[in-house]
Amino acid sequence: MEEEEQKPAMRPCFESNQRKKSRSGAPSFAPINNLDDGCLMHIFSFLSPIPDRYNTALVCHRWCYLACHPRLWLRVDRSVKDSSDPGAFPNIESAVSAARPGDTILIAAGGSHVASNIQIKKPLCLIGGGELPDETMLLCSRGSDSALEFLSSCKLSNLTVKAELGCCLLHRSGRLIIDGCVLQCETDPLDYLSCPIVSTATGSKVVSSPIGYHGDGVSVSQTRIEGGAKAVLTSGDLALQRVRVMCARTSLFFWFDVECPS
Amino acid sequence: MASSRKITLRSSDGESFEVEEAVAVESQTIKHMIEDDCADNAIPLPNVTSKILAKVIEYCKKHVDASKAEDRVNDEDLKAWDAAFIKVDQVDQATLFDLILAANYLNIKSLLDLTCQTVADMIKGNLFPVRNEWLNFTFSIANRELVLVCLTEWVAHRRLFCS
Repeated sequence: MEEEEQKPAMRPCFESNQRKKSRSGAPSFAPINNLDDGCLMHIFSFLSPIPDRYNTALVCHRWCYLACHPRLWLRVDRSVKDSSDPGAFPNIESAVSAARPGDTILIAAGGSHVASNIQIKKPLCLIGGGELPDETMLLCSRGSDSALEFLSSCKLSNLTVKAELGCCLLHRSGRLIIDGCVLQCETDPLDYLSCPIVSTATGSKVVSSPIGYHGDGVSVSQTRIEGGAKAVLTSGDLALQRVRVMCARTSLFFWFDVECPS
Repeated sequence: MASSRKITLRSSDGESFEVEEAVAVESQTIKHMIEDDCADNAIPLPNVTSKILAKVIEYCKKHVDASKAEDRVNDEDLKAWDAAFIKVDQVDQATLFDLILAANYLNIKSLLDLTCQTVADMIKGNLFPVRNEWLNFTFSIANRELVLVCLTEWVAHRRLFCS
């Protein structure tokens, strides 16, 4: 590949098993590091997050900082009127459809965003833009089954998902990570299907890796769950594991995993 | 336009280039300088050498000519010209990066996008097993789910410490 010959100049402190090179000298010799942060981030914005931008994030500290920088994230802001800013979207659906696999979407704090049956089929990361999860609200109105439906691995962080009727998060497949969120459902639901998390995954795809369990499942950490008939409804083989609860003054924080019982 | 004003641009090493105003205002930086009436004498560009400035002017001239009604060039032809223009520089990486810096300084969006896309293509698509010293394990990039977990962890890490 002709790219191979050009590679040495651009990999300042990077080890590759394929080339079996010993680590090269000082990173400043590579001409690409003469570019300023803005130009490098502009270059990284042309790369798809998985796998290319992830690869660049492993090269050195500076590239990791730039490749994961919030300036490369997509933003959802209800006040966006025109398409002048390519990375800003007025609602979550348009941001999700425009996102590339592995992108991060930052949802602006304040008010509530409409989330009705949004299907997410690619790995994404949704982050709330406020200090607390309460400041960014995703509202699922009556008539929708769920706010977000996940068919791929995703991560939610610092968000509030409120479903008036129906479930907040519908997990079909992949690994769903919920960190520091708030899930709110109807307090006394008549419909027994009104649960914050509903998982229909079967857990048949179990990938063994040095990290640990990597099959389909849901990992919840430091999340408040309010309302609903029960916290998790699973129609597949998955079950609640390792449930921990911490009681704060006004609310309960949960940590649990929904996995295939081994 | 038959008679357009000529603008003189002076590179960092003292060489002067005379260009038509239509070509010079491809650069938003120069356009603002002209609008603010700073262009009576030569416009100094201390961040751009003569070699790079010559290439930038060549690019701008081609794009201005391409958009003129009489000389309307096919979009495909223009893209082919762009590819040939940048291919010469793929051999010399230093020139390519200097072009990026010049396009950034002069605020020429199309040239900046062209050069950055070229560098991104050079980086792209290089799938191989990666050894990561910090995380201290080896994994194959082909396992997308695993990559996502790590990528989102880095995102969270950066957000905590760098925002």
